[in-house]
Amino acid sequence: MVSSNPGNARRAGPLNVRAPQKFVAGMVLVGICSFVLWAVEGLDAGTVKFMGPAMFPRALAVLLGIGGVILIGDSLLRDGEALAAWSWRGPVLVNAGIILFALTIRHFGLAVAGMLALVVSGFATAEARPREVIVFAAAVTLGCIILFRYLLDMSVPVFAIPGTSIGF
Amino acid sequence: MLDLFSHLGLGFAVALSLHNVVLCFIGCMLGTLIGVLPGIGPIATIAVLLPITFNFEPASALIMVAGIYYGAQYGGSTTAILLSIPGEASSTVTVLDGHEMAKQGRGGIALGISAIGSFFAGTVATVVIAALAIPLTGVALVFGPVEYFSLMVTGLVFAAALARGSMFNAAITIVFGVLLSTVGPDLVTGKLRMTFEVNELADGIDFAVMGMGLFGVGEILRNLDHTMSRDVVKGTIGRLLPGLAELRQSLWPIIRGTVIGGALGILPGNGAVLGSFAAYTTEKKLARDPSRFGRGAIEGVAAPESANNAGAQTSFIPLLTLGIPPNAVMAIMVGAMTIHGIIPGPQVIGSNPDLFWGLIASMWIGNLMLLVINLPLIGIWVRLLKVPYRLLFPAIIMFCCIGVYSINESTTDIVIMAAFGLLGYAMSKFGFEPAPLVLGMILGRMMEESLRQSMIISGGSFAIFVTRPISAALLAFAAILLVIVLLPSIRHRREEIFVEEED
Repeated sequence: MVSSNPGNARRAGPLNVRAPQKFVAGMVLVGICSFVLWAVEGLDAGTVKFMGPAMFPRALAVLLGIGGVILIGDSLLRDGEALAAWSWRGPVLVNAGIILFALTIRHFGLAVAGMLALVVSGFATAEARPREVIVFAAAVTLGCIILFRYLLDMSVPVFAIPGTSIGF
Repeated sequence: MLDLFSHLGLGFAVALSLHNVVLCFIGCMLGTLIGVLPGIGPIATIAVLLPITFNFEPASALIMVAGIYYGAQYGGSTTAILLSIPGEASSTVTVLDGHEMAKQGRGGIALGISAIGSFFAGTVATVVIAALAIPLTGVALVFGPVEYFSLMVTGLVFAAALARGSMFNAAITIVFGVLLSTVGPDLVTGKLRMTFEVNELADGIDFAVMGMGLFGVGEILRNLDHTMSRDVVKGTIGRLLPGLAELRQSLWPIIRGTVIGGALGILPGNGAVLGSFAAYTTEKKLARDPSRFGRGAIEGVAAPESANNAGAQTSFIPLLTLGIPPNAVMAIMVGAMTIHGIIPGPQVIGSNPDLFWGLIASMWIGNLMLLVINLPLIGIWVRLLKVPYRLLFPAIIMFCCIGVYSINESTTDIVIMAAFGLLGYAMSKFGFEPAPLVLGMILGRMMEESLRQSMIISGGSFAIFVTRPISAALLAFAAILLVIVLLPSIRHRREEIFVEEED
């Protein structure tokens, strides 16, 4: 584990990470590099004169990898920023709202998908007030149905129940 | 000269059709409406509103997008002046004196002079674009793949040098963006690369999807982390029209700002960002009493706002003549054009003259609309600023979802958007700005193509990039810039600038 406490950055250990943020960023870059090299493995790189499909992505991945190694090296030599604090509520609820929208839009229609997306993502902030979120979600959903379905003539169902013939 | 007028005439004939004027107007309104929301810059605004333009024919759609762009710019200035929250890097300097003016009850005048300055800058820049367009497309014709590759490398070096924060991180972000552009079919063999059997990736990563993810969703995730202090200026905004004395005071700053911003905007790699800052510094240096700056000096609003708008407009030049977007906003414009089946570049002027000149004329009309329609509506925008963010962001999420879905009616695209949102959030946690990613991604495909063609021409020797004179000059230009930026004294200065901006 990386120490995220800047106070005891100079701790005895096999790895003395002095800039945790850079260290982790470097590791991620090396990870991306390895992943891309693996992903284009089956493709032909060709020659410099006649480059194949794998040449350009492979070269870029190696560049990223080198960048990552530089960041890791730097993080061991110079003091730098600690890892930034991540919040979970925001990203989790916002993305849950988006995924629910994606899952329901085609079969249940805009009314259901919109309400789900707005209500779930609405609670992504600690300042959310339940009643307000629901009323606002209903108003925005209605507005979007009018705008996108009727004014802009988008082909998306307004409301449907799968397995029945209900749908308009 | 006569040509210039006949071209502009054609442009105005296209842009002034009732249909297109209405679309430009709606674009401006919607652009301001979204752009005025705190924490949403022009990139996010265009990305979110792009789907609305899908139903129209290309010329009308692009005119509407241009309207959205100017509206978003103006909305950003409004938030900068009244809320002290800059929506993008280039309006950060406006905050310094603009917000001070607002606190003194002169917010209306700050908004007014910003609109007037922007209009003047926009008018000059429109003429400049119209005059330079044809000669520059001529330049484009002598550019082969070798020159194009070097030009794009130069542009990306610029983008890294002028990015906010760490230059090294910006360079890495650009490389990552270029890497993302290789997802999809190989240009020569048609073999799929890194698509992992996802149909939606078979044509490459959709640009609008990525933009909405990074700048729509990602921006919201970042904003949710800190509750934004909403320091809406209380009390009156005051009158909007500056008096004669204030106009006289702003005249030269507006002219100087226009020249500085317009010149920097043409540079590849986001020169426009420098414009507002350079204009502000110039005014401060020229002023008889520099201590007035930062305390509500009207020149401190007039100059950077004019520079900003001039740069915003001249940055269309590299896009329209060479097909190379100089910054992330223009990269989004490329996405918008491609969706409508137009590949921006020197051929557009010949193959779609009505579209090309119509777009240029609509830039001026867009600016005029901002002045005569948006300014009087300022009260509505101010009221909108009072809607709490906790209600606004779910609505923006919803627009992004519907927008992405409407492109290809694909739910996988929505999931890809969510992934890019998380990527943008994660990048910010590690000190990486997302804007250069978009630029790298949009230039990536062109770069690979021109690199491969160059290598076939040269028989596999990289020396071709330095033996061809134009290409060598471009690379030398990039090298000089790199050396300058890395000089210790400039490096410190650069860090200072961006510290002041980030504040």
